[in-house]
Amino acid sequence: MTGDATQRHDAESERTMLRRAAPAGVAEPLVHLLDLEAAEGVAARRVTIGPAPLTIGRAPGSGLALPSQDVSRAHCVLAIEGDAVVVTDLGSTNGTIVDGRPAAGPTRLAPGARLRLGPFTLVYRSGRAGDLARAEGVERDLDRAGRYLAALLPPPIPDGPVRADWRFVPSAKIGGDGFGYGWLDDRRFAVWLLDVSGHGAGSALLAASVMNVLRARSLPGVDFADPAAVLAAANERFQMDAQGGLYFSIWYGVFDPATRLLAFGCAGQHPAFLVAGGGGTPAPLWLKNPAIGLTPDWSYRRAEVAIPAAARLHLFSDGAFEVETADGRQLTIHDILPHLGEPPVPGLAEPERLLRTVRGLARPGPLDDDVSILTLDFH
Amino acid sequence: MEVMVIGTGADALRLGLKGRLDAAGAEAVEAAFTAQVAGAPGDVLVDIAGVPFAGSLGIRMLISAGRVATRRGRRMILVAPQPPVAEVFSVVALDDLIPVVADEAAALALLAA
Repeated sequence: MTGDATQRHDAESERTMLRRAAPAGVAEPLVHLLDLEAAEGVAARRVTIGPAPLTIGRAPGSGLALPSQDVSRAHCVLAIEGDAVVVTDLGSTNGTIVDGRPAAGPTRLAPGARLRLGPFTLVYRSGRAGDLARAEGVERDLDRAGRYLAALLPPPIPDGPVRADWRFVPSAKIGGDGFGYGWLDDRRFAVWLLDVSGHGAGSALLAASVMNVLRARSLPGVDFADPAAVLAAANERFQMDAQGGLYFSIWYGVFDPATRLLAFGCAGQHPAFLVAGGGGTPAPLWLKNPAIGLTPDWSYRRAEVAIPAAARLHLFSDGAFEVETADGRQLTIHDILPHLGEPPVPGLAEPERLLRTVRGLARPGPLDDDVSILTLDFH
Repeated sequence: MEVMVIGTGADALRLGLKGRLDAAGAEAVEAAFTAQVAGAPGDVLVDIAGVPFAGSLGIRMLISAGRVATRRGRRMILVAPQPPVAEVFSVVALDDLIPVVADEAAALALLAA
């Protein structure tokens, strides 16, 4: 035994020695890339910025040719300076917009910087080739996590006494949003929307766990028609000390078409909003309770509201309003509320209308957090 | 994001938080902030007037630190939140778990009560 162990030890030492002998001190060179996002019928593609400056413009001979009347013939040029890339506008008509601001003079790009040229968006990435490959691997995994969460979401309900439609846009970092709805029995309809703290795979895993519990109604002895009971049981099951420090906010409601009463509970989540048929001021449906997992033994409350005919209920995650505008302003829920009661746009699903509103308010580019928008129509 | 020791008065330790308390901000100051709260000789006032935004991980940091203080028989009070931050605290009912007051006088009155 001892001999074997020693031999193994020797073999490991040898491997260590060999690795140390590998070319150390030869730094992998920095790679500078520009990712063009798909737009105007031009497919997404990646361009490497080499030692020679890269000109971008509408002219066919440009290093990167972007066919749009809003792009000047010679629009801007990118060149490596030391470890950085500097962009210089070449007197273009519409300007070179870097992270929402027009580039005045040569502008150094930070990794992740977003360039906007007319209708096109280009994202600058830089790093060692190995680091970039690793980052892409993580992105791919998060993309898979987002697709898995999306696969747990219910299909829209196009007709019946309760109709449902939604939009779900996971962010690149995965925000841990989730929602669901469906008939508990032949007379009661449940709906919920949750948002796990933080970002990334951990948040996505907890979101998926909770969604599966709620979908399968697998909290023993719990009446899923009672929002307060569901929240209390979830709080017992998902204390953050036992969930890697993660917690989640949730809005949970149960509608009975026979009585037209909606019972709801709310834990650390902003309100859902009820809009009466014909529009008007959205009424907040909210109860003050801590988010699930923050504190044990909390006595969750429930409330009931009468649902008028042809009313509409909006639920959304904070990613739908905690966005930054092009001029760097941080929006709050009050910025989105006036849009909830606006008249519907013919041919446009209500959650899609709201999603477009959010995109219109936010600075260009992908949104920072998951955006979930869920609309129920009560007939 | 930074955490500062503003004062070590006899009545309470005064800490200050400054910057966006989002995921990155919370990660940057959580260890230092929690260590200050854990090591406090008495009650702790946390001035958050310099925090324009608090996200979910920032809220977790405050609640965890509040628990640390409670376990040591101390009180932790959040002082002077900006209105949007106070609104977020109310939505997540953080102010039901940790006292949140408008200014230092109110905090001292609470400690004296």
